Amino acid sequence: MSSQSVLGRAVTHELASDHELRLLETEPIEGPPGSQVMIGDLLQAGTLPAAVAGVEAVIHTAELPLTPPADDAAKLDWYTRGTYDLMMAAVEAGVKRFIYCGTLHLFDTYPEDTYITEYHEPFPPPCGERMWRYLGEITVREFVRDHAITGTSLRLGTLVAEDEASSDALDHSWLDPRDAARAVGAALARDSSDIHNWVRRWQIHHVCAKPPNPRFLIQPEIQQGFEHTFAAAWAARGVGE
Amino acid sequence: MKRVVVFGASGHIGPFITPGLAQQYELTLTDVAPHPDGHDSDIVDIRDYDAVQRACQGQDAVLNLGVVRHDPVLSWEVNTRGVENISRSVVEHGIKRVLHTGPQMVRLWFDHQFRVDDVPLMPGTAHYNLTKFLGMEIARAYAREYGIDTVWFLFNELGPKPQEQQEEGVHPPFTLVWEDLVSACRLALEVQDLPDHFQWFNLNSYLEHGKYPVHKARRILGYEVGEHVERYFRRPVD
Repeated sequence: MSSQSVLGRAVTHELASDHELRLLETEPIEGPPGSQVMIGDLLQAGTLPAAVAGVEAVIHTAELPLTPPADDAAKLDWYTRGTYDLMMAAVEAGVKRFIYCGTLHLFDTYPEDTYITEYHEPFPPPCGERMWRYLGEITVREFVRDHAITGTSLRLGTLVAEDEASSDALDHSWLDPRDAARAVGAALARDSSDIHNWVRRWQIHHVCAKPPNPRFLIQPEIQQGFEHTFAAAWAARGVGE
Repeated sequence: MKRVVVFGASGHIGPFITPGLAQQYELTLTDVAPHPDGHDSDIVDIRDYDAVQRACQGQDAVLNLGVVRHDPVLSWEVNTRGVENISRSVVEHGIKRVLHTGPQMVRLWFDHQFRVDDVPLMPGTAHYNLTKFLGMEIARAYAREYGIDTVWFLFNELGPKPQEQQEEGVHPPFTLVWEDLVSACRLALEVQDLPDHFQWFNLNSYLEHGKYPVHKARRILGYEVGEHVERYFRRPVD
């Protein structure tokens, strides 16, 4: 879903060589060789069953499509009702794995000296993208509770290519889109849909690079294979040397 | 006298509880439909931010009874986005007290247990429950950010108090009579120091099965069941 965003492009690039991809977009696009492109939108529920028919997994990047919703009210609908209709289509099609891309910015209000893990309560601001993404994540969670499907929310940090990261704006949640895509690829391997206890079907993982003196304590297996540490940007400010 | 604007005042809840609040509060009734009893009511669609914002002007508190239960599109627009519109309007007008209502969200998971109070809500994927739950999350964030005391009452099977002794009756958990909801609303409109500026309460008028007590509502609001419904359903014995 939304494969033309920075994240979407990184994910499709990461997966294209060993997965059969179907890309859903609001406008015609050119996908990687061998991929299938379908025109549709989360706010057009009728387009979703065909988009998910026959697939083993759905990746919802939660990035807005090329033709985005017109205003904030419509964006709220897109993240909530749209995610609901996508999940419903996936469940009805027998999809076993669903990956949702949330955000680490649910924790921006915590004091700087707090170590943040998946155990911490999210505090999204009342409105805007962070709240909308959070509501989408809850929607996925409730489907996992009710249905035999594996759900993973990857709460991604600030997406920026390592060579574009500015030392003037250090960010403890920096994440190179290529590493984000690796995390998505790794999440695809998990299928717990035959486990009756829904708590084990639903997982949340925080995802970002590991800076010096990290604020987000990421599970080591999540960062396995990551290639972008942003060390140069941190070192430019004398951190981590 | 506090001024309270009521959204959804003409539906399945409003006409039965607003008369009980009218003596204590100056009510402005609003809905997309005219009031069934012919009371003055403004036409306001809570999907329309401008209309909601205008209705909140000059008010001290908001009582949101608006709901669409099962429609796959309208439920989102009313139950989720409607709360967003109300919350923004409340901030704009500096209102510090908001009450909402919604369905209980625990029965699917705890109906085989007893003495279950104050457990995490588990809305599931029915449109009614999930859209209301997401509305709660929006309201919770506004409450936290702006210090708006926000209360959600959760229940099922809202109806009249029995008037006479009856021999049989099955009452699902969260059966609530109108009088108890009126009482709870009064308490919520007056309560001081609401923890975290946001609380939800399971309400119940029938407690005999010992399944879902109302300890939290009692502890924080001082809520008490007015007249226990179970008293009207006693099996005759010699």
